[in-house]
Amino acid sequence: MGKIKNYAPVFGLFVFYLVCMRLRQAGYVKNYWLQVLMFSLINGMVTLGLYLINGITGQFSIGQAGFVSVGAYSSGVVTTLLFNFSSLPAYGKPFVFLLAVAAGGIVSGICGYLIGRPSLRLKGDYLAIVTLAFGEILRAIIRCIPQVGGPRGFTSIPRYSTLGWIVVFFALTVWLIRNYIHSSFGRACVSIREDELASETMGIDTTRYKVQAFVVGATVAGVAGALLAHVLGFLHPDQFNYVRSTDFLVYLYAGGAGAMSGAIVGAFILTILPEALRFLAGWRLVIYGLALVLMMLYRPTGICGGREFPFLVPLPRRGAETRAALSENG
Amino acid sequence: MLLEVKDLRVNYDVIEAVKGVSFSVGEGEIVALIGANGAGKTSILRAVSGLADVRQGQVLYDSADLVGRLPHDIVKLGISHVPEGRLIFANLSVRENLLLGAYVRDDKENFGADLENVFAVFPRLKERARQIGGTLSGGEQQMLAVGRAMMSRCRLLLLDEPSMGLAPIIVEEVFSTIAKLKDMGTPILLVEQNANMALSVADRGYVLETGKVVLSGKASDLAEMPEIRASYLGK
Ligand SMILES: Nc1ncnc2c1ncn2[C@@H]1O[C@H](COP(=O)(O)OP(=O)(O)O)[C@@H](O)[C@H]1O
Ligand SMILES: [Mg+2]
Repeated sequence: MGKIKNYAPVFGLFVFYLVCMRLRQAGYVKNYWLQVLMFSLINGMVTLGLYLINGITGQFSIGQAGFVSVGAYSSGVVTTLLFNFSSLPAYGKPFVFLLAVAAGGIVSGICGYLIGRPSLRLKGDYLAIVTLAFGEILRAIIRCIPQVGGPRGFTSIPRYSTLGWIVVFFALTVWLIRNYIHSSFGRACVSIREDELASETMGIDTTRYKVQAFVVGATVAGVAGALLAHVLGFLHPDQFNYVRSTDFLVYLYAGGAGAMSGAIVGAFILTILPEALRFLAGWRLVIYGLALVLMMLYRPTGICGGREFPFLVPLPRRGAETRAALSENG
Repeated sequence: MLLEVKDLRVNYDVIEAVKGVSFSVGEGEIVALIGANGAGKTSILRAVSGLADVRQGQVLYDSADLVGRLPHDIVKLGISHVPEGRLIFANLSVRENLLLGAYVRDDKENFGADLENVFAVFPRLKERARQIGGTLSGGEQQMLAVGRAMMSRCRLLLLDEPSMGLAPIIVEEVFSTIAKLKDMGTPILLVEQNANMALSVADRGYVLETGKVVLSGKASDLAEMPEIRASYLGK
């Protein structure tokens, strides 16, 4: 019984994917909108990573675009400089692509560790400053590396990411983050958000859990960046400036930083909205800005207001009977 | 001795908060550190639990020195600190607060029994198990903080001013539960400004003044001493 319910969201996503492809074949959905959908899913992944850091652990990271660019550029290096993607045999391409995505995640995660470890040991707003600086320094560095195009941009990355790939990685991200926040790691992160000193007196190694959550968030952003690079086929350092980082924060807080659903819904609505408003030409950003202001006025806790889609809360799994028993006798 | 502190010194930059304090806590004993505001009581507890940097001295627990250990490691060794101001998780439910107290344990199968144990000592927490911590009254929050520490199955409990900010009748209630904990065999290092209450439950006591121990002895003897009655008991 519970098993079937557990897989319903996966099944739903698969059906959603099939419907999208069918509609495209039939000519109802243009490639353009399919691409907007891909961007929504990718932005959703990045925002979920940010949710783990800012929403669950209560740290304030404001440089998420930096990690996206690390993932994007390092995956691009794998598919263009390490391997000559277009001359690979067809059966080799998925492997090299997966290798590139893994490289994006790993390099980004390592960067997350290197900047998170020193700045998260301290309490306070150091993380915000450091993450902001990280994104900007990274941009300057990329401009100096001619192998990845420097200031002219990184061209000829194979456009290998399809909706199918992206749906799979999105689902993996949702699964990972959901299980993370409902594990003992997640409980430690929440208690750190609530009161760091009290968490220490509970025996929680606060530095370790903060760094761990930060690295997971950075890794997810890196994977998303890798997928993005292979949708766009072209990267430019200025794509990943602090304005882009702010976008992810807006997705999270407008959607509702109190729930995973908020991160997902925020990223979707605010990725699609500006595209849907394109017919307004110059007025587009005015209306978009106005929509944001109204949203924060009337729904200050975000669109989802901290409520979670039911499938994002794991059913009590085996081994967790104690938890179930505990919630009964209260 | 379970805990033996020798010549402890704690500094905050240039301020000397604790200037060479020695004391001990034995198995099954309640030891009270009493003293006025600013005497260094909180600093001593923070030094024992690893939250404050120790400038000099030793904190021997089971004869092993704790100085330099990190707070979370010290909790794992069985020392639980109920900090000044209680620091409960205001946005989490009573049950979630209590379960976080058991964070360092991996014997999940015993959590249910231990929760019942806490509820037996504090029946009011049982009624409010689902209530959000921040909505409890001051006394209930203190009980939650103590209950949360019990959930760690600690071998030594550090209590920092459990009476602070509570109405006298609630203070009585909190102290009667401290006596109950003692009957259950948990040794307690109790820090209080309310010397009267502290000495009534403690076995031994130390009187602190500006970072130094000025008097020590059996709690019942201390409570009879004229200088203590004059300065701390308001009689
Ligand atoms: N974080 C701190 N920074 C600087 N001075 C402090 C700090 N905490 C306590 N002190 C000082 O140390 C002394 C002892 O304080 P404390 O241990 O809190 O005493 P008590 O708990 O007995 O009231 C006081 O003079 C206080 O001002
Ligand atoms: Mg104090």
